Amino acid sequence: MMFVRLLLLQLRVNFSLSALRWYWFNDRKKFLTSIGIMALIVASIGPLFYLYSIFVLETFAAAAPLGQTEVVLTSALVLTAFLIAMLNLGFVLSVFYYSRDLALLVSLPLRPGEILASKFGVVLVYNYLIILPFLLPAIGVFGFQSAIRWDYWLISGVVVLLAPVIPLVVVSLFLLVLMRLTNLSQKRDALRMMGLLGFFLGVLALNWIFGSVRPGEEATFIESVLLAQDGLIHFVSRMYPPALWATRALVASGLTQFYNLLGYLLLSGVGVIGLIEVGQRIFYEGLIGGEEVRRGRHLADDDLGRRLGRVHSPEWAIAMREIKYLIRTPIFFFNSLLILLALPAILLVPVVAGGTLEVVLSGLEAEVPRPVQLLGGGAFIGMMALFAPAASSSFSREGRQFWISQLIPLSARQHIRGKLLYAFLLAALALPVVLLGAWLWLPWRPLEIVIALGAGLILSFPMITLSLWIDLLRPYLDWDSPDKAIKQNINVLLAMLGGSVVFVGLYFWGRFLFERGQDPWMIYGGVLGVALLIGYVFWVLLYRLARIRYRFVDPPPNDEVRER
Amino acid sequence: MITLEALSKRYQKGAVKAVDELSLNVKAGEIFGFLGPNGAGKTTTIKMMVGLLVPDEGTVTINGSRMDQDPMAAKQSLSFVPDTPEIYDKLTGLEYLNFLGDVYRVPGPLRRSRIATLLDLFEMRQAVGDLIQSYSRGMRQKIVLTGALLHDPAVFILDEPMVGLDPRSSSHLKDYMRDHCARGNTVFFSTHVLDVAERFCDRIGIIHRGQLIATGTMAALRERAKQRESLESIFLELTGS
Ligand SMILES: Nc1ncnc2c1ncn2[C@@H]1O[C@H](COP(=O)(O)OP(=O)(O)O)[C@@H](O)[C@H]1O
Ligand SMILES: [Mg+2]
Repeated sequence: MMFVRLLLLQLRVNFSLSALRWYWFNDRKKFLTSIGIMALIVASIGPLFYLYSIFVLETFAAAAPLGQTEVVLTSALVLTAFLIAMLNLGFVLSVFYYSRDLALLVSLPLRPGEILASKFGVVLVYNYLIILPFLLPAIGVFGFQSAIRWDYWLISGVVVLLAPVIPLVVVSLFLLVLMRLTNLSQKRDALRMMGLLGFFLGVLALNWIFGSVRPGEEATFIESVLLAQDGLIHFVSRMYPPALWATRALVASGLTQFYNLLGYLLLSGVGVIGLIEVGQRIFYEGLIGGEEVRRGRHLADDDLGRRLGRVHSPEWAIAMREIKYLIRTPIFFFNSLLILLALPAILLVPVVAGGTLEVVLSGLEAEVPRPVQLLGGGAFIGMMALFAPAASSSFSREGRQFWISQLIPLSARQHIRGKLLYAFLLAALALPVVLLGAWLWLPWRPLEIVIALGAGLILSFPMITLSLWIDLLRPYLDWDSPDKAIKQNINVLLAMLGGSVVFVGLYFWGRFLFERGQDPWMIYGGVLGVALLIGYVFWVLLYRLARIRYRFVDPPPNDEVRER
Repeated sequence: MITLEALSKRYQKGAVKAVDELSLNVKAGEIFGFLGPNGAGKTTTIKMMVGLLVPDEGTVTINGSRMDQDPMAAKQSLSFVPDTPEIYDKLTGLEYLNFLGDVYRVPGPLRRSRIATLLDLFEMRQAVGDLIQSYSRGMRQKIVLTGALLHDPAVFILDEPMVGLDPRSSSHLKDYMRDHCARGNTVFFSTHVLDVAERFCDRIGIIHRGQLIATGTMAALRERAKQRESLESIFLELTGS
């Protein structure tokens, strides 16, 4: 069948299976490096996986007296649905609309629905990688800790396979409609960006509304949720009822089990078929066209002067160029800036959705000393600077336009200052998040908030210089779709690993100071001083490297030469 | 204004010698045409002149500054229009010009009046507020030209500039280049079309397989081609294309 072949081809291309095979036969070293990098990724997820498993175990233990232990399954399903909806916006968009083979596929005698279905398959397979670490611990914990029948394992296989389907269908449908509606508009990119942001915030808001307990209703909450039969499960799955059906399909028996499983299967199936049907009608209409040139109006001299605005320093010009590019390229925007929004949301979801925010906060206040809290708040900002790959893909993203940076009369120092300025401006976006969190929930005094924010900026410094340095070591300039510059860029990954090592080191250093009974100011000074020092070292390295790179990087050959 | 001394560049680990000990001197006030068939080494030479490629051997001096010793000064006095410009297509034309104005440090009032003049010259006032990604090939070329002339460069270097430019703009560009040179500046451009070189240039250098094989006015070159067979065959190749 045509579709199956198309899907297999897509999978091979997207997961670089053919490339790996080729490396195995032709370039053993490169093969080993790729495998090594994958192992590195798995290893870096390991500790998180462990922590999450412990969290699931404890939830299970806490729910046991209430007789509602299956809530671990429901929460895991809700959590994965939420993660999928949040993390896939940019990815689905780039696979559906911005992948390079689309121009070719569209010209082949394939139906739009078929192309869409094969692309959906690719996205689906990727998502199994995201959800497995979240679903497996829950399924395992429940399975091994309770008396279950054999069919539990069988059905859990089905549930895992179906888990990403419904949320992905929702995201895909949303994107199909958005792309179709905005395609003919002149402000296409801006509208799309706003649409995506709206979806993102909408899901967050829903999550918030469904997850919170209104003040004054705590008593009813306890009665209806904690004490009522299945109350907790109902509560957790309010936002995403299929999680309830899947839970019942797993743990109930008899007809209840059958109907719930059937419902879950049917909804997934109908979703996929509906998506393909809708795609058959509107996929191409969002994909093709809309390239026509707009005739702007004649710009008179006064207007010109006004729109040119003020004269800026070269460093500022560089920083603004970076920011405009980041914001105006949807793929860049979603894989960097939006991560800044998504990360805190994702961290908060299990807590808020579980209705345990108060408990966690009072626990935090009782168990974690204030200086550690403040540095933790700062570390959060630093992590944002690290994990939004805005610095670690900064040179790579310039791509084939890097020649302009090489041509203009700026010193390496000026270029680097521009990049630093840009990266700090982005990192500063995390400040309001921490500020808001502190103001809403944490009893920090104003001076303490200032310390946390300052610590955040200082901790961002080594993250930024390290990330820039790693990207400049081997900038990846010869890409043809923006996706490759940021998501498939190994520099981004290496920077995250390197930055994490720095963070872990700083953590143990801070802990050492704390256990020695140092007073808070010594701890702040010690940790932040070392952070500054590390940042400075990489800044010097970065500057030295830039002097070489801006001179010696050969611009990628243009297509004309490549074809010869 | 431009001095190249024994410039050499090899590609593919030395397998291809793209430019071979090329020496050249272009004076102030000259429009110099760098003429040669495809693959002769024009683009490679130009990339070394503007600091995008580091030569294996030899030196480049622009307006008295060596590219390897004082690149900032050398770059400040030149500007470059590549053959297929990859420019910031997520910026509007105006933002692109403003960016160049900032990095070349063109003062505000001067910037405004130059942009106004150049936009009129290339008839770009309507499109300049739009994102460059919406521009046609010709408009792209014109915004790059505008940006390149913004800081009134002493040395103006273009790689195959007439490809994709409409006849009217190309004639305006020619007038502008004349004017520019009359003010003591230098224009250097490459082409593989003999006709273009003849119409635009004061002096022409012919490059073949990485070597500069002849320089002089078009009339003098034609004269010499009658005596030298190798030159004549190159001439034939260039008129053919
Ligand atoms: N980046 C590159 N890598 C390898 N070979 C190249 C590269 N750029 C140019 N060449 C080779 O160098 C020679 C000169 O090319 P080029 O300078 O582009 O010539 P022209 O601009 O005169 O057409 C050609 O043989 C070309 O194939
Ligand atoms: Mg060329």
